[in-house]
Amino acid sequence: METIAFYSYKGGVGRSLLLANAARFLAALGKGVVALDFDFEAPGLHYKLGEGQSHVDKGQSSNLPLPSGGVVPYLIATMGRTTFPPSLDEHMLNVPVPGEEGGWLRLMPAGKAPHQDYWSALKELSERLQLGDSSGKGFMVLLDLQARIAEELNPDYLLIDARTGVTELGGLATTVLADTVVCLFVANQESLDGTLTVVEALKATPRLDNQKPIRVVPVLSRTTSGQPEDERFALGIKRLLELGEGKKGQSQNQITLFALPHDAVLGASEILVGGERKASAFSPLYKAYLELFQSIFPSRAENAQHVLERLEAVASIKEELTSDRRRNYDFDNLFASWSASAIKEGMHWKAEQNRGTGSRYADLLCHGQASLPLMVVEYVVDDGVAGALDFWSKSTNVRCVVLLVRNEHGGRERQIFTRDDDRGDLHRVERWDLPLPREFELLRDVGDRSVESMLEAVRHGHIEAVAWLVNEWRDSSLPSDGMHMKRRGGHWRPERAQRILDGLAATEDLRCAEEILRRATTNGYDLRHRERRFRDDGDFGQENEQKMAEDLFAPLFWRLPVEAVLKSMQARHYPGEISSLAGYRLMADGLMGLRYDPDRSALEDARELAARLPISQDNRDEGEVRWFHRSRRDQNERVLLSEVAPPVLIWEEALQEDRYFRGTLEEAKEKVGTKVKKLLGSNAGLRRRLKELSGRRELAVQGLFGSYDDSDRIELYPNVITAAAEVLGISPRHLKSLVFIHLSAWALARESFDLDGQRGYGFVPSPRTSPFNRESSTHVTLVQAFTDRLIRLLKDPHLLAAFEKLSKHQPEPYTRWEPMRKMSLEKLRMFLLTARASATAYGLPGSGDCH
Amino acid sequence: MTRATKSGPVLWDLKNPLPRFIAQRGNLVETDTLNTLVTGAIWRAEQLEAYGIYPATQAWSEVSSLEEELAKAHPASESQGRIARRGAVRAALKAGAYHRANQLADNYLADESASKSLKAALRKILEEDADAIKSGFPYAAKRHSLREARELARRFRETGAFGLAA
Repeated sequence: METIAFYSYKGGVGRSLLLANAARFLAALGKGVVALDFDFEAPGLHYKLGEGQSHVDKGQSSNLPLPSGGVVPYLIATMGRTTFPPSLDEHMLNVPVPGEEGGWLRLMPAGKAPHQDYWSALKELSERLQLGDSSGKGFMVLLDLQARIAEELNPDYLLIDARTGVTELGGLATTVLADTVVCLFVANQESLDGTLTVVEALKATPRLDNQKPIRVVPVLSRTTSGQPEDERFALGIKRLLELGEGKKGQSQNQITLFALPHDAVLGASEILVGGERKASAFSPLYKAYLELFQSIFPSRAENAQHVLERLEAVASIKEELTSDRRRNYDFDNLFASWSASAIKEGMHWKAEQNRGTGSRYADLLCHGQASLPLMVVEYVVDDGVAGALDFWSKSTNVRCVVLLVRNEHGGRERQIFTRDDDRGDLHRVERWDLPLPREFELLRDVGDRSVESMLEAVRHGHIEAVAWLVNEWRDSSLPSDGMHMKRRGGHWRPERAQRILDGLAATEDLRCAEEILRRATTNGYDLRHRERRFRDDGDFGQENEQKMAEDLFAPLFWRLPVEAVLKSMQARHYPGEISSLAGYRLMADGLMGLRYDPDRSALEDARELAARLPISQDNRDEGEVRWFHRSRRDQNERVLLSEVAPPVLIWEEALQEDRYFRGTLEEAKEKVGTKVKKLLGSNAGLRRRLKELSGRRELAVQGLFGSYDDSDRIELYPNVITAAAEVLGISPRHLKSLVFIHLSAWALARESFDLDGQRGYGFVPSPRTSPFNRESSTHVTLVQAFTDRLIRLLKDPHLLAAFEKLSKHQPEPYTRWEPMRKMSLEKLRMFLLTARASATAYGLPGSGDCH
Repeated sequence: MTRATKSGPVLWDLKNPLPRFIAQRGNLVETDTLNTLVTGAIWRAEQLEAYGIYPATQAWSEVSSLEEELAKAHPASESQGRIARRGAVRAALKAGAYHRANQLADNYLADESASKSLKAALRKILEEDADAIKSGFPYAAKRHSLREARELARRFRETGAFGLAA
């Protein structure tokens, strides 16, 4: 039995709290511990260990009964006895201890303080117990108590709470009974001087015959940042370190005083943390305790070191789990961390039914909704990995296991194991960062965060994966910005970026597609978002923004379902924010060699409109602005999906009834409107009609699948497109995209500016007033050529296949793109400039067919 | 004349009927008077002890003092002197005044006129007392000697707590 006395020259230094924590720490390690309260005048150890709260199991220890006996009644009984010695059990309390190592802790309080009986007993004892009694009885009675505890209880440790100051009992406990004295003091000269005096006396006091030299461990308690720095104080500390033991630093000569930091929470509440393995118990004070225990209990130093390492590891993981790891692009908290309430600490997990036996301690357990356990974190030494893995794999359904492995060199390694469903075996994965709660919803296997896995999540409608994929694209396609961490650079992996792009483009789910466009837009958010986004990240960089717009948004703009694209184009505040700009510019600037400038177009429109209206000269500016905005609003709705009857179908129907019909479209509509409406309502009928048209190679884009009219509005007829897709055996969404691309190319060819600032007047759409006044075939061919160029630029095999298939059923002007494929882009652009200047564009391929 | 024994007051046969006087603070006190006083004191101390009344130690202290006075009046060669000496030491021990008992025993043992039997008796009284203490603290006795405890107590008396008063 080793006896350790905790002493302080002045009170209020946390002496009893340290003792209580040490006692629980040792008991939790499986040791037998007896704690004696010798602070008779101000006893309180039974509050710390008994009535005081335990950190975790408050219920267990707070219900300890008030002690009926104690040191004082015991000593009185011993001194006055005539026959048998009093029973130790009557004077001790069993204190619950954390852990299951088989340790125990028994407390012998001073007595029933602060009850009146105690003070009466203490008075009697002080009269009878004379330590200076020359018969030696006074010393014998206390030596007898210590010897009896050793003999009857045989604890590993006897911890004594010695009385503060220079007192008889304090002197006895420290100089006679103790093998080690822990001297606490606070950082002021008074406390230091008193402690130094006592420590010097302790070292000078002769020991009993069978005792080793006394060990003294001075401890500076309740430290704060403002310590005295004067020479006298420093000399005192130096002297204390000469007499006592200090904390060894990295080098052998570097020895510093043990210091316990001030902890307002633990200090005030006196919550015990000793022996706790739960991360929430970890604090700077607990860490200091554990470092101190390594010195006070040298034989348990390794245990203390392990506990410290475990707690540090688990606390660090917990902090990582709960810290805000939202990415800069995570505006919707999709990548939110684990909430504290979703994490349980120190769980004993029993094997699930029909899945093995036994139980295992999990340091952390993260659960999802409905308390479904998802992930466990366990700290293990390296030879325990196999056992841990075996249990978690075979006896539970948990989907992710994080093992914090301590290797033989004291290093720590994080190993993450996952499984793709709750019945498969756990396998180690490469990822190092901890899975987030939403990942368990997105991915079948949280260890597999490959692009394919995330794309699969998107295919299943998990919108959250979009942000991740867009960010991965960004990381993979943008070059690193060197060492400047603030500037977001990536790891250039173009193939990976292309896989992400292709995968995103294949998205069918409209909600996800819309989200993809939203995420892929660098300038698509309002300024508030933008400001927040780059606040912590440094400037993303205009160059990178432009690259993202061109390389990610623009291809997706043309490849994603049209419905999603149209929705993403709505509700913008000013033209510069129109996300579709990048898409249009890819075609206009990149392919056609034109300049698409909706601001300028809108301004011109506004001026033109303002000039036509009787606005007074004074209010001219205001009026222009008003018209400008109105014009913009109109333009925002310039592409739409329409349910109206396509003009071609109306003409076809009208001509079927009367092959000499010469009326206007409105007249034709009036004539056959009902029939066409009926035709549109009948899928079979519509398909039959479209089959006829396809057989005659009359599946023109303009007028049948959509239209671009003189009001600069693009209309798509989804009913007809869907039916035609069925007839042609291609995907409706790809056909819709083809129509959208074709009509957009036509619109851009007309609206974009050339170097002279001129628009493409040659691409004025044909009025709908006559079935014979169709578009110039030259212009159709050119638009088809650019459609083909764009599709090939996009490298979308589905679009390309659909385009080629559709061409086989289209009028001739639509099919002449093939020879133009070999034409250089410069030449094609030159043709375009010529065609823009003239409605007939003589001299161009196919110009002979112009009407 | 009666004399207290362990079994209570009994008639004591005086072999030397001549009265003796000892000086007490300038007064001469007859030994008979002292004998009467000591008998009464012994009876009172035993009664106090029997009833478990704490100040019995004071009563035994009185007995020791009276016996010591008697020992002064009677040489060690006389039976009364031997009895008084044994009584003084025993009563001092009963009073818990081990230090005083030890001093008295040392003085009596140093007396040349003390017989061997008296010396042996005195030593036995001290040993019996030590044994009684040791039997009261059986656990401590296995690990520590009473001598150690008494040495600690002496040091404590002389130098105070932590030895700081040295």
